Amino acid sequence: MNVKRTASLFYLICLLFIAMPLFSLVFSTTDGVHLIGNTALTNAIGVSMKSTSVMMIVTVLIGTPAAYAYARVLVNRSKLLNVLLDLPLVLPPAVAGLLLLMTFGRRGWIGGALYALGIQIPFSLTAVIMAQIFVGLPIYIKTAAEGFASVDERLELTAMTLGDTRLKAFIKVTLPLSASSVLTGAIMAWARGLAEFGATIMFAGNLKGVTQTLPLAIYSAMETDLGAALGIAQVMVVISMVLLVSVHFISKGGRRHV
Amino acid sequence: MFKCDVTKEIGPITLSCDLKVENNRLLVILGPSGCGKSTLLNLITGIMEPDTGHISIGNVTAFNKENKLNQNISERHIGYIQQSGYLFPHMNVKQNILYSIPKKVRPEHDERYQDLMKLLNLEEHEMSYPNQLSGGQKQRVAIGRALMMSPRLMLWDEPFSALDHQIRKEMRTLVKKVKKELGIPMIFVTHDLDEAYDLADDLAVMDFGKILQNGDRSTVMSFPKTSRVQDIIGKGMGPVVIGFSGVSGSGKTTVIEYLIRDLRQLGLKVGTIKHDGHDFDMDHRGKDSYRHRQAGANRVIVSSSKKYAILTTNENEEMTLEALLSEQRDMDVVIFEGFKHSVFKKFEVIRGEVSQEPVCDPDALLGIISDLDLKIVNSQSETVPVYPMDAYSELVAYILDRIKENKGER
Repeated sequence: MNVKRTASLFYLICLLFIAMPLFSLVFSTTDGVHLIGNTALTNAIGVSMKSTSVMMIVTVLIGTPAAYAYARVLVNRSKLLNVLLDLPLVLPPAVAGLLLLMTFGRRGWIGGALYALGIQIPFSLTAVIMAQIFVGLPIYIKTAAEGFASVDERLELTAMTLGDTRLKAFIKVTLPLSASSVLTGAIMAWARGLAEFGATIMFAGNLKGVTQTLPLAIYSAMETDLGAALGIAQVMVVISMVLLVSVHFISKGGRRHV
Repeated sequence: MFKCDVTKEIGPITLSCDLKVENNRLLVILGPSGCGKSTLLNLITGIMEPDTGHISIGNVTAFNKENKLNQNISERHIGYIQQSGYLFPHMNVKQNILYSIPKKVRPEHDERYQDLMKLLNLEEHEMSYPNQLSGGQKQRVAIGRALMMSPRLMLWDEPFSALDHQIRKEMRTLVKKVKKELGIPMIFVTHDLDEAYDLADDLAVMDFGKILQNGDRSTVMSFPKTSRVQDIIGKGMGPVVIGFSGVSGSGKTTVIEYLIRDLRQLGLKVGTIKHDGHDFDMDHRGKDSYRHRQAGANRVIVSSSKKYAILTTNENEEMTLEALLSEQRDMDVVIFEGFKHSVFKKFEVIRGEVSQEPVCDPDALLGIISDLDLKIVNSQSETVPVYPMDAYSELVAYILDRIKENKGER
C-alpha cells in the first residue's frame, strides 16, 4: 500500500466535502433576475457595507497602535492579557452577543449609564458595528503584530539615529516592511466582520434595513424565499473567494527584497 | 569635541565612564565581551538613558541629568555603524544613503551624494537592494547613510567583525579616510587588537563597566597601569593563532604534538584549544588533550560546540570562541584543533589543513611532518624514521616570524 497515495485520497475526500456544497450553490435554480430589485438584498448589502466600512476604519485606527504595543512592549510580558485577546476567536458568537448585550444593553453596567443619557446602543447599526469589531479586532491585532514583530526594532532605532521620530520611523520603515501582514490582517478581519451572524442577531437584532446584514438576510429569506437566500449566498461566496485570492497574492507578493 | 561622564546601573554592575574625544581623533574602546561597551554606545546615542551625568557633542548638550535635559535620538546627529549594517531592506542603495535627506531637498545634496558614492566605491550598485550586496558593500552603504546626514560624532560598534580579513583591512583604510574628511570625533569599539592598533589615536581599556585606562594609544599600549589592562591589551598583539583541521586519523594531533615540543623548546608559551565534546577526560592516554599536555603545552582547553571547559582551572562555563581565545591571551602561540575553519572568520589564523582523508599509510602521515630530528611511533608501536619535509619547517619559521612581528615595535 502506498501511504502517500492513500493520504492523498483522504485529502481529495476532504476537498470534495468542501467543494460539493459550493457546486450545489452554483447549479441551484436561482436566476439573477429574480434578485434584481429585491429590497431585502439591496438593504442587506447596504447595511453590511456601511457597518463593515466603519468597522474597518475603527479596527485599523485603534488596532494598529495596539498591535504595535503588542509586538514591541507586551508580547512576552503579560500572558493573561494576550489570552484575553484570543477570547473572541474561540467564544461562540452567540455568547459574545449575549455578553455585549449584558454590557451595553439597557440593564448592562455601561448601557444603563448611556441609557440615562439618552443613548441606546442595542438593536442599532452601532450595535452591528460593535459586534463586528468584537470578533474582527483580535484577528487584525494578531496578524499586524506578527508583521511588526518580524521587523527588527534595531531598524527603527537606526532610522531614529538618522533623524526620524519613532512615529516617522514606524511609518517609513516598519509599516512598509510589514505591509503584507497588515493588509492580510485587515482583509481577514473584514471577512470575519462581514460573516458575523450570532453576535449580531443577539446584540443588534434582525431589523430589515437597519441591522439586517447579508448573513442575517439569508437567514430571514430562508423562511419565505429559498431562491433569494441562495442568490445572496452566491454573492457572499464570490466575495469570500475574491478575499481569499487577494490574501494569497498579498502574502506572496510582499517583502520582495527581504 | 565629544565629552561624556555618565553612570548607568546594568544588572549587577554599574557602568561608569568619563571620556573625552577631540575633533579629528579616533578613540578605540577595547574590552572583553560584556564589559559594557555596547551599553555605553547606547547611552551616547540616546537609545538608553543614563542614571546620572552629562553628554555633550560639540557645543550641544545632549544629556544633562541635573538640568533634566535629554535630547531625542533623532536630534543628536550621531552616525552609528553596527556589526549588522541594519540597511533598510525595502530600499535600494540610493534610497538608503539618502534616507536622512528629505525628498524635497535631495537635488541640493546630489553633489555630496555623488562624492560619497565615489568614496565608498558604490557607483555601480546604486540601484541594488541590500540582499544583493556582499557584507563589505552593505557596511559601506551603512557608512554612506550615516555620513550623508553630516554627523557630529561617529560611533562604530564592532562594525567589521563579521567580515573577511582582507575586506576588514580595506574597511580600516576607509575609516581613516572618513576621519580625515569629516574631522569629527569618532569612537570605535572593537576586541580586535589589530584594528585597535591600526585605527586608534586614543585608547580606552574597559572592563566591568569601568574605564581602566584611557589615553594616547602608544602610552596605553606601552605602559599599562594594571595587570588587568595588560591582560586585555595582551602581549603586544596577542598570540599567534593556528587552526588545524582535518578528519580524524589525518595526523593533525601528531603534527600538533611536534609543534608544541619544538615551540616549547624555543622558550615559547603554547596553549591549545581542542574541539571535542567527548574529550573531557584529560588523563585518558588515548585522548588528544592528554597528548597535548604530555607534549608540554602550557594550557590545554577542551570544548564542545556549546560548552567550553577550561580543564587546567577546573571551571565549567559557557564561553564564546573569542572568550575562549582570550583565556589563552597570555600565550605566545595558540593552536586550535578540530574546529571547522569557518569558525575562525573573526580571527587572523594560520590555517593548517592536514589531509582530508584518513591516513592509514604511515609514510603518508610522516610526509606531512618534518625535517627536524623527530621520531614517531605508529600504531604497531614501531619507531619509524622521519622524512624531510619542507611544509613543517616552513610553518615553524612562519610562526616565529609572526611572533617577532607581534612583539616588536611596528
